[in-house]
Amino acid sequence: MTATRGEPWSRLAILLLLVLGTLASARGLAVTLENRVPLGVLFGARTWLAVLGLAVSVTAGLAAAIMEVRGMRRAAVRAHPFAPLRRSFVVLVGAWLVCLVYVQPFQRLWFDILLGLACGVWAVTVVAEQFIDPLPPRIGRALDLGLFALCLSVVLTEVSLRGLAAVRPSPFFARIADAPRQFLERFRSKPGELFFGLPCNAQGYYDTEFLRRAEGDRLVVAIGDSFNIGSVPHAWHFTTVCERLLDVPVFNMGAAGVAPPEYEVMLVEDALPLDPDIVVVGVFVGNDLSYAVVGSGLPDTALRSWMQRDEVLLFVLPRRLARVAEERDRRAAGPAGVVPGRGDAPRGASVEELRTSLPWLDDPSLEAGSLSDETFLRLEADRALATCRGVPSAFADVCESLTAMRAASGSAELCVMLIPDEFQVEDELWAAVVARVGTTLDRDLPQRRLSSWLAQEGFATLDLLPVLRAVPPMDDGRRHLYHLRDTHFNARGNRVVGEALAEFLRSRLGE
Amino acid sequence: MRLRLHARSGSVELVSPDERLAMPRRATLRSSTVATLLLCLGAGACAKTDAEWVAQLADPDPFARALAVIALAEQAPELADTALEVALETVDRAELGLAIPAAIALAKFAPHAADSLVDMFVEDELKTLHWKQAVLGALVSAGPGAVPAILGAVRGPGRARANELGMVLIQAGPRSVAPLVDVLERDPDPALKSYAAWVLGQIGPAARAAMPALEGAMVGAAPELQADLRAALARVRGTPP
Repeated sequence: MTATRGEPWSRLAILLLLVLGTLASARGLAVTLENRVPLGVLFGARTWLAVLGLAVSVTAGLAAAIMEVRGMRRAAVRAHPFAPLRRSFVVLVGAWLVCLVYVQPFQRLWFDILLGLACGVWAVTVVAEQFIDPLPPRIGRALDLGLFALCLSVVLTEVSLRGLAAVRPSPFFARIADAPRQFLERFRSKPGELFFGLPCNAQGYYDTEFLRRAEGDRLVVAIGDSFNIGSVPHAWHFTTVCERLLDVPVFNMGAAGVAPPEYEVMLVEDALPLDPDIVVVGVFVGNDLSYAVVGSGLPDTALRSWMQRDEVLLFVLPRRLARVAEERDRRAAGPAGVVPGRGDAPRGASVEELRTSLPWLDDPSLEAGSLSDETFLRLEADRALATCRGVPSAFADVCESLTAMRAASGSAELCVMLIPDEFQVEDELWAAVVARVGTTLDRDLPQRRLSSWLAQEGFATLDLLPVLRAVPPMDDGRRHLYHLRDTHFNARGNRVVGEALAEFLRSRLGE
Repeated sequence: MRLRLHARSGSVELVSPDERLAMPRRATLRSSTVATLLLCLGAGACAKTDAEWVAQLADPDPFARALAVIALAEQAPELADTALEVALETVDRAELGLAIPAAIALAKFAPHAADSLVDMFVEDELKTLHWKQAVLGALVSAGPGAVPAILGAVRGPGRARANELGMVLIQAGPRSVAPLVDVLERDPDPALKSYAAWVLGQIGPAARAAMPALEGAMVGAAPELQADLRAALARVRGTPP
């Protein structure tokens, strides 16, 4: 009696699922054959194994559907009418987990193939149950219900975590697409890589080792792009200058070539586990407003949010909790308070040695250009065109990233430091840029636009443009705050910025 | 001989052992041939054409674009010019996980697009290391076809990047020798002659064919050029200074 209750409905549902599964397998087969040339290059003969598997899946799906129709006609009764449906759920969740563990990054093609194969596996079990019964009924039943309960709990946990993340935003729940992380990993310096004699720390940042903030201490983290790597030795870098003035550690996290989406990764993965009071995000108007958005406009957004490992909280949360625990352990093992020696001479060479070997640190007129004249001018002109005429291409994405960063920051205050481009500070360069582009440009437009949005959203902002313009020019009429034909601050520029940042942070730290 | 019973007609006939052995084999062969044919037909019917792959180069999904590049490199490398930019974009997009296949695709395109690759390399000095390595690697794969383009670039806008491009000529080895000899014999620019001598010297004994040209270029040359030519000759002879 119990066994037959719901039988017609379960048969109908199974038939419907089998038809859909067969269609999914057929689609998988079609896309595999369609893409067999590139797949052949990537996987060789294994491509044909996938074709074979999908062909078997289609056949099994059709066979199972036919058997199901016959069963309906005969009014045959299953001992457990819903068992095939539970099994379908288990197979799909299993395929999802396989995809999350092994098939990354998510691409629609891999998804289609995997779904087709998973449907085939299920169809084979539906066909096979008509002929074989490999397990004793009790064990089979226990396995059926146990696996179903396990898979259901996995899915419900993820759904609950997402619900919690929506209600209570937290750094632990931030879901960041994988593309910026991969991008960051590619551009991040290698641990131990030397810059002006200082080896990058264990996280690959141009600074000494980071330690989680101790109870009662204060900590600032500065996040940015190549400006945070800079063109000067560490002792001259603006974060070190600021640190010396404040007597508060200012951790320097930078990677060349990255943009706000990667800053978000640095914030969540590297900065927040250190429990900072303030995080300063440096936005360089020269290229942070007009970068190519990695991962933007990708198809299947909804699917991606479930199939991309770094968007699934079940995977992300344990890693983040482990990271915080690791930082706590390091803090417990390391020295308390301000890390001694920070801002002093780097390990490889003393400040005096650097000053002697790099005379341009004290005299900008001795700087050698990093780029050729032509390349530098072209770069500056391109940046001016991208930012000083209309809305920069990534303006909305920057705003979105900053909003997401603030939501993820929790108790840490997120501040923004606007870094001007050199053409906004050096009048001679601006004239050359204007002459080159031959069109009307609004020199301060990016700051006006971004400052207005930041003020509206209530971000504490340090705009460096007026600070740098207030520096009196040297004898040759130039301010010499950027390294020659390099686009980054020189020692003089870093000092000015470090002082301005210290002044800005002093009030926020309550000093 | 055995008896065979026809169930439907009820008749009986004699079957020889040879015939008996051949029968199931024929049947197997027939069914497997049909299956293979069907699979080939299915695969053929589903396969994308060159035009479809070219259209896919404009797909908004970078992964789809990358697949198109890989496919075109296999089935239509002569369409290199249409696919070069996407191939280089893929090389630079680590998140797709197809950087190495894209670099290999670029190497397949290179013989058909050496000029464009050299131009792209010379134009922009702000590219990533991966991008530069992929282009230089592709130029090496392009073989002798790339040598004139590289020398042309070194004569003109690519002089600042002559050392990097020189690595391509050095890796091309004996295939670079003839065009470099041509430079030594015909080019009036002493700087370019000095460059050709440096490359030949780096190629070493594999550039023995260039020895007469190196010796010939000494006649009437400025002392600096003569020193470069002598150093190159020593390396080519296998007796570096």
